[in-house]
Amino acid sequence: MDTQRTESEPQAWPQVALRPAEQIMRLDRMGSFFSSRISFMRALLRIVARDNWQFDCPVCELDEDGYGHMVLRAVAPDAVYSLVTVTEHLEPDERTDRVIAEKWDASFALIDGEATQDDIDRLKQNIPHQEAGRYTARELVLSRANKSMRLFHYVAGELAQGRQPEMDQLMATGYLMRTTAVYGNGKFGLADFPKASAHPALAGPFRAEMLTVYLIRQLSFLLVNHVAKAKGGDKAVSLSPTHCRALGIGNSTGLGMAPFLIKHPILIHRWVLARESALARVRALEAADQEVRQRFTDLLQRAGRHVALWNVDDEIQMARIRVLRGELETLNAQHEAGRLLVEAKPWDQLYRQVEAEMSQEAQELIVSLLIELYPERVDDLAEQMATSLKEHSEPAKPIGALRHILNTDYGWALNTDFADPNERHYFWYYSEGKEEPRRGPRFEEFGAGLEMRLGFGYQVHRLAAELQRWDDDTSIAEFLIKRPKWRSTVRRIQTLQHYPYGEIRDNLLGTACRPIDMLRCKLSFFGATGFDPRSDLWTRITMYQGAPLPHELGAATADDWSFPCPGEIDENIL
Amino acid sequence: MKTSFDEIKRMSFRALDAGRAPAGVDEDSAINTAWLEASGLPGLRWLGDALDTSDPKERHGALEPRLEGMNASVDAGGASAVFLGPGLIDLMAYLCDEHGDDAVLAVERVAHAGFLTGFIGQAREAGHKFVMSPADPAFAASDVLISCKQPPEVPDWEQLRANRKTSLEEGVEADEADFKRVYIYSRKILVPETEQSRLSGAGAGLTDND
Repeated sequence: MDTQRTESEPQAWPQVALRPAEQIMRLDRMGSFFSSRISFMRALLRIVARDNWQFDCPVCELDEDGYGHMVLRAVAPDAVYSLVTVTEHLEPDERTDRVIAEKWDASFALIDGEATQDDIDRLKQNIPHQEAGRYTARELVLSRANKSMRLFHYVAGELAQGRQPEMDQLMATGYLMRTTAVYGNGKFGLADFPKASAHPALAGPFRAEMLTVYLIRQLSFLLVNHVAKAKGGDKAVSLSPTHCRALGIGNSTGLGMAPFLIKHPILIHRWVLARESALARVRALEAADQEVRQRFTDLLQRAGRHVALWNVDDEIQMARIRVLRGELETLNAQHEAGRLLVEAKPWDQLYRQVEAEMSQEAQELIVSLLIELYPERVDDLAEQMATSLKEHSEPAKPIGALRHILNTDYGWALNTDFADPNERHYFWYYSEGKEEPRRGPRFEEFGAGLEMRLGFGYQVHRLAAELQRWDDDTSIAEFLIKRPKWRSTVRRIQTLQHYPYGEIRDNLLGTACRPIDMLRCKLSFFGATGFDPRSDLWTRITMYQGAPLPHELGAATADDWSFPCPGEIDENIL
Repeated sequence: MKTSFDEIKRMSFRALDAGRAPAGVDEDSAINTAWLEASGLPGLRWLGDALDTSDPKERHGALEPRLEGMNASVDAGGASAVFLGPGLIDLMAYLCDEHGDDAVLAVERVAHAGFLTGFIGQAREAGHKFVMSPADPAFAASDVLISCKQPPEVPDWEQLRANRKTSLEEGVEADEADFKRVYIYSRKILVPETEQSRLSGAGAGLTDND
């Protein structure tokens, strides 16, 4: 497999062969990914801890119900970031997590620098309107969140009475607020990504967005403490660090994430390549010392407890979780009986056994677990996941070479029967309703002529038919000059021969496509947990659950928050 | 008005996609529009003009070049560089691959020739030596030569680069009327909302009070 590394070269560790793209880049496999220590949240917090960032709240102008504005500040050695926040009253019938919402409980902008009074005044006029506002290159990220009303009021009420909330209640939801969009990269006039990434800490993908979410999490604690204090006066207590750590920030994610995976194939290749390289490095180890074996034991047991706490309404996902629980019990039992890790290359043997005998959920969980064991071998890969490379065509190449790539890499597309209406059942589009990304039945709903170009398999299929009328020796340049409508498709094919993890090898237009598989893949790279599909089209997740609080980031074990188990976090995290 | 590179690119792409520019040409010309605006040149105006004045049937972007050794010529017949630009740059790159730096591409009767400046500039950043002449500051020419000869003084590539650096730091300063004209075109890619699509087509619930 050609895995071009034309940007920064990863450190040269021995590694086994990478798992092939045709195995990994399938929807059902991608829909089984778990977050790992090279996920963006984990990588960001390691940098924040390493550089001893300081956090404070220089502005807090809230009324007794918690409505008003606040500024949270993160001070890095070479930069300051300020989260300007506006909180408002929201009627229950106005509270929707969909893009079509017009109001939110809280709205945010992350500023590159100190927030001046002018910034605050300007943003108070704009961020409550989100997409309808205008922003400047001072702002890196725009976001909004809604409260989990039941949990927020419950926690505020308990704190007002001088009591900590029941951990069970926190675990049932997992967050006080959930974001419904986190925008960056130039949207609505925000700073373009190259400006944000000029800060070394924010150079990785979605780092500014992940910093924003971490600050929103901290804000949610300040907000609930403020409301409790206003309600309970001197009797009120603050939410304890243990309870705070058990809470993350929720997120509702719909179809907007799916097009991203298609439109940024080189970037996706970099993400998956990093993860696969991490696995390959660990699998290459000839032996494991006793300390790492004990760490594996602990993590395997923690993963079992984490999965035991993972309950969702979605029947398909819940069935997978039940299978996974049984598989983890089996692994734990085999390990206790001394039947795991007994041969040379113990991690490779373990992976092979799981791959041969267990579900894809179990396989991908074990991938994340193995990566967790060797920080010194894999953490550099978290800094290899960005790219500035663009798709490019090779006009001097002959059509014969293009045909060869099609025949080699695109059997999944060429062998799909697109004459079958089921294989072209859906089209993806942006709705006039606040430009919400949607998917509709092509043969029933109006608008297929305006569809997004996500059906790459279908395009490949049609291109192959077109190429039958052309000689192998004709140049790509001549072909595209005369048939420019194939420009995008040809360029993508020529580019992705060098970036094999960039292409999802499934038909995204067919009835078998479940968009949540793509969402889970992307969210796992963010570092999300608690994947909770609400349909095939959207999911809720939790971010930063179990993560250390700002004042805890310097602790030696602060980075140990994989497979979070709320309620036992004191023992396992700090 | 202040905007960003990415916002111009995304909006221009949608305008071109809705305007039936060929797949790929829409991507390249959208980036080119943003590149021009960030450089201080009126990319949005040229794009808006192209969408205002061209017949959708003329947006196919296909070329019929006349090849004579290291030289090639194209009669654009009044079609816009917005739709022909990506193909012209590919053709020039191909000529250079075949014949080296002596290759010359003559383009006749091309509308919005100034739009080619961005493609030329991006090709230069990618390592090509392309220049365009006449590099008329008013971009009034409709017959141009693309070659690898000594760079002319106009446009001032260093000044354009400096402008893009400022745009990245402070945002892209775009003419509001130009922006709004392309924005209106970009809206044409949106599918009108129906009750069915609102209820079943997208994600989360219509209220979320849990």
